[in-house]
Amino acid sequence: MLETYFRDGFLRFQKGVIPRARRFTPEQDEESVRIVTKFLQARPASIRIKVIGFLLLADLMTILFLGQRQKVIQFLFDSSVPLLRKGFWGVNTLAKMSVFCQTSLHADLNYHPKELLR
Amino acid sequence: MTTRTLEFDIVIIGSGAGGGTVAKELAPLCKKGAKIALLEWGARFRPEDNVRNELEMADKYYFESGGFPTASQDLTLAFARAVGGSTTVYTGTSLTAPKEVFEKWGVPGVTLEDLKPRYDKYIKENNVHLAPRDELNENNRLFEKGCKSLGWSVEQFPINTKGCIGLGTCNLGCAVHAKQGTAIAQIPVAEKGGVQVIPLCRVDRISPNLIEAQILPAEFGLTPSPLAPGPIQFRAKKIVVCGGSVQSSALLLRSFGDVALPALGRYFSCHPALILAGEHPQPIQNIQGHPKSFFCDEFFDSDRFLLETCMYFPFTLAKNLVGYGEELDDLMSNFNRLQMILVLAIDPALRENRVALDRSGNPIVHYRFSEEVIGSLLQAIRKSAKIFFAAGAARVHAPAAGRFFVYPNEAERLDQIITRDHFKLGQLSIAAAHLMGGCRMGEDIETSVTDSWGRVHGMKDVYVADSSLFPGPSEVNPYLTIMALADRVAQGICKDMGVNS
Ligand SMILES: Cc1cc2nc3c(=O)[nH]c(=O)nc-3n(C[C@H](O)[C@H](O)[C@H](O)COP(=O)(O)OP(=O)(O)OC[C@H]3O[C@@H](n4cnc5c(N)ncnc54)[C@H](O)[C@@H]3O)c2cc1C
Repeated sequence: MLETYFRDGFLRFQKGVIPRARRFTPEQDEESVRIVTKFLQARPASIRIKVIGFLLLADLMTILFLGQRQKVIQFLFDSSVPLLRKGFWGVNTLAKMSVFCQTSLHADLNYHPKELLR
Repeated sequence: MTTRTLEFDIVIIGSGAGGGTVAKELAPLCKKGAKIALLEWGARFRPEDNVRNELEMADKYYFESGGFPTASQDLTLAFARAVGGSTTVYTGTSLTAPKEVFEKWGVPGVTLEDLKPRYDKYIKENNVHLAPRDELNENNRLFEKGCKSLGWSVEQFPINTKGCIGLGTCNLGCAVHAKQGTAIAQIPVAEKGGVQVIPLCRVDRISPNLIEAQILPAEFGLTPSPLAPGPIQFRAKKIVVCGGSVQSSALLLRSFGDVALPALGRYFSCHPALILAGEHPQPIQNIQGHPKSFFCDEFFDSDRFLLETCMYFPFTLAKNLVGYGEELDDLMSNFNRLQMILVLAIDPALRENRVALDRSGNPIVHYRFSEEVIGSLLQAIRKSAKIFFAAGAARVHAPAAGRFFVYPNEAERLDQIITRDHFKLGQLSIAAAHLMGGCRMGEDIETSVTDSWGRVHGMKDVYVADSSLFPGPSEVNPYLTIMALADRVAQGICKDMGVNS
């Protein structure tokens, strides 16, 4: 159950902070989830719990803010409470990782590293 | 099951800038019958192990994928785990520290006169040179242009490459082994001289003549250790700890605690850094070619920061952009128009900034940003924005501006736009790759861990030879200074053993 929540909660957050992810194909969504899951699996359980806790908080606050996710995101990003800012930074970084580590997006980014022919 | 025990005269722990140098310098002792081992936590990398994929290479090379968080989670540290240590992923800019740095350190004998011949040796060994101007890419030349048009000093970095083909992915490890890190320049010489290199060997604890370690299984398809995985012990007459600032401090703390060595782990500094990006109206040649060709030290004395050119990869850049949303996405879409600057603050070595251990015995770094350092970073952001605009950027992402972009018509008002109020720790991505101190050299046991030859106070046979020795920041990119100090430690070991170095 937690895994399903993580998947959906993470994708909701990711699409809230990175607009291009809203246009992702199902394959690109799966790749996003694969990237962060792999990253988190290599980390202590306490980190995974913190991430899930933060996603839950963002979802609950969105309900309280009558569905205005962007307001919640801005509130967390710029919070005067350092813990919330740091939590946002961590999960936002995971969202960035899940998008910008997809090499299939490099052409979209106009990122063309020099090829190395071995 | 009894643990395997191997006997050596000298065991060196860690094979980075410090350990690789010590191994090479002590290797001639093998001809005189000495047995020397170089133990390295990480694996040996062949060129074909480098797939140049950002995430994959970060996992393969770096501790915590390059984002080792400090306890307060407002700074991440980058340091590598490999035969060659962080010299596998460094950029290879090769500067010597000025004499003022050693005067500030105040360690008897550790002077520019003592270190100069050592510097010269590695400058030669590592093929340190200035790249020809026609090899400098536009990202670098725009920085030079911006600085010059503002009348600010700008200098070309000497670099240590041989056969560089301009892949531009230096910090993911070099896929053609062009950078002359210790894995390329010193360790092969050490091995030829008889030093036994044992990769994937993590040292957990030492006592004066015994080392407890684990041989680790190979991960990520990297070459396994020649020894079978499992626990192992080494007996050694001399132990040289070269695990880098964080891991050397942690290993000594695990092994000896900080009662007899009250300065152990302390006086950590790291040149906290920010990555800034300016977008040009037209595509520029930025990601091919050596990423770091110039630096500006115009504000070094007045504001304690350095500016350097740099060029990173999509996720690293995105992570360093402050914020989220349309503007971030838009900037990311224009990678081929981006110019980047790395800001390095020169932070003081404060006693309270330190490496400690968590409950499992792993390192945890306590680092507090002083107002002076925050002031340096703020001023550096403002000055970098000026350079971007002077170079022709159409918009600049300036952290601590309270908004995502700053525009050229605002160039004269940057002091009012980029302010302390907007500089919120935990919101900005601050990272550091120049980790220094923790086992600093000195004379007083209250404020230092080793003597001026790297020998741990109160111990006859345990030495340190890496960046943790720095009593304060090197104030320039540190690797050549680490090598010079490691050379001095190797000389001291020879003297202690009664042999000529
Ligand atoms: C991305 C990046 C770019 C950089 N660019 C530059 C540059 O251009 N110019 C410059 O001057 N400096 C640069 N630096 C800094 C420079 O690389 C380091 O300061 C230097 O390599 C540190 O040397 P060291 O010997 O202290 O540690 P390291 O080089 O980090 O080596 C320590 C080694 O010890 C091993 N080790 C640690 N603990 C144990 C243990 N318990 N058992 C066994 N092995 C252990 C580690 O795995 C590692 O391989 C850069 C650093 C980074 C990360």
